Amino acid sequence: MKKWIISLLLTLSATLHAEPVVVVSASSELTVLTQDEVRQLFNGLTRRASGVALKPLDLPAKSTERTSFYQQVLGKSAEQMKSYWARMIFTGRGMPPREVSSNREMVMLIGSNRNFIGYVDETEVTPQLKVVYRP
Amino acid sequence: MRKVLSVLLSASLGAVPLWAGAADSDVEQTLREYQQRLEKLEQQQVESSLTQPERLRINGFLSAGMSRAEADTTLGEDGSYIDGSGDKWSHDSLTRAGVQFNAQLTDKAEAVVQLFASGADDFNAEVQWAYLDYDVTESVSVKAGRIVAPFYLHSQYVDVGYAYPWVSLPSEVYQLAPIKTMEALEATWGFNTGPVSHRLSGFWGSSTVDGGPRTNNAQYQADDLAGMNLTSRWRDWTVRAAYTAADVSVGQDDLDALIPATALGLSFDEVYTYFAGLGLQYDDGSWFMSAEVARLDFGNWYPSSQSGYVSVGKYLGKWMPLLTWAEVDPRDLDSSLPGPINDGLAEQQKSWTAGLRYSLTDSIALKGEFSYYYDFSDDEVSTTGFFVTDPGAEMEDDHATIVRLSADLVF
Repeated sequence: MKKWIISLLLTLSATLHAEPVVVVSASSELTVLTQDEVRQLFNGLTRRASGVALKPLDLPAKSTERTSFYQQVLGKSAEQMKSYWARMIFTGRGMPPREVSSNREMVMLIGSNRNFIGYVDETEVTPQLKVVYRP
Repeated sequence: MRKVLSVLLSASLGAVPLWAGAADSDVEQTLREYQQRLEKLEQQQVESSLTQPERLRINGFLSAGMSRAEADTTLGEDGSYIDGSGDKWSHDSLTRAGVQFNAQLTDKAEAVVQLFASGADDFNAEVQWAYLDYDVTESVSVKAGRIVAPFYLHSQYVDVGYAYPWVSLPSEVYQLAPIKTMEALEATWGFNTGPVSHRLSGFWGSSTVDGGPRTNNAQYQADDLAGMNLTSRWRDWTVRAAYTAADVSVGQDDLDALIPATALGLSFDEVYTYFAGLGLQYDDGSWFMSAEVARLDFGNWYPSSQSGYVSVGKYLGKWMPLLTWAEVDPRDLDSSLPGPINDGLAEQQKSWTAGLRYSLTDSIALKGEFSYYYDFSDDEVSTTGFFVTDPGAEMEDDHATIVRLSADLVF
């Protein structure tokens, strides 16, 4: 019983502390993005910020970081984003960000290519990454 | 190639213990190098799959719906609605499916084909869209072929029920100009002014529009169909303004089937017609609001119309209740025409619709709505709105209701 409560508390605190930050490669010229710029990039409304071409990446659909990123930065739930992208796809206006398979892949890809932008948990930021937006 | 490399790598890794006795630090150094090489290979593989565009993408949608109208009339049969809803449960009117193929031809050119079938059309599959999309620059693209007629805020996905919260889009506005596709050339420029994203489009083409059951399916030929529209988005707000003009003609046979046109000396030949629409939407993930006004104006004796709707919905977890008010009114009626002609051609109605949407999964939505239609007649004109009735009939007690249910999914 005790174990149960502890693991429940741990899961809860892990969920509550999922604080995604928006990152680009440490070698990118970008320094900081506004919330509007982050929204436009992840809504597929722009492919650049401050003159730098950027391709957004998404974590897997089930990840807690993805859920909290969209909730905190765009104010939308997974279903609302799905419906948003249905509108974009069937109007020929764009495709959702490409999905990576894991946090590790996200970190690795962004660290190595200055044209990718993504979000990771604050605790997973490595020296190869640069935080450009904090919700 | 990768396979060969990894076999070589594992072979050499497997060989490590044979000479491991020599110097542990050397071995560690070698292992680290191998690990780095492996990571690099893995990274290159993922990266190339992400940077290269997918050659062919397939997306689809399906809506299975049913509806029933309660529309008593003063004489003859009960009325049915323009979307096919009648006095018995009907599955056809709201049931439809589509598959869209996007093929990337080069890094600038894309071919798009959408196959579409609907119950209203006996599920005969037809090519709804077929066009070539070419990126002239990063922000300007040109489309040519059979494309969507971009009249309304939600025009481009009218058939994708999953994409909007209504079971069916407010008919007062969306059935005003029932044009869905056109053969045209369209140029679109996407640009941002600070935090606001804009899309400005201009197009030129032609289309044949089926007037639907209220006009005995008269064919309205729209030539020199040209228009401009601007969609601007700022955070949770979207504003859209559209203006389209065309020379519209209706064959004399179709016209005579509708009204005694020849007897009255009326024809419909290359009439300058314009459509103007203004839309506003707000969606912050907690509240949803959408409002549009539209005007369809024929430059001759044919009744012009003005319409609008306002919808407000609230996201409550997986549920979303939605309330809509809509209105369509005839404008500039030609008073020199016999009264019954205007009564038969004009469309006047108001409606309240209460709906509920439920997200079953993140790609299936269940929806239901109840609509109350009223105010078809006043001192000036006596219409049956968007209801199809026997000639001369009026709506009993000036009101009618429709229940609509649907399951919508995207894949």
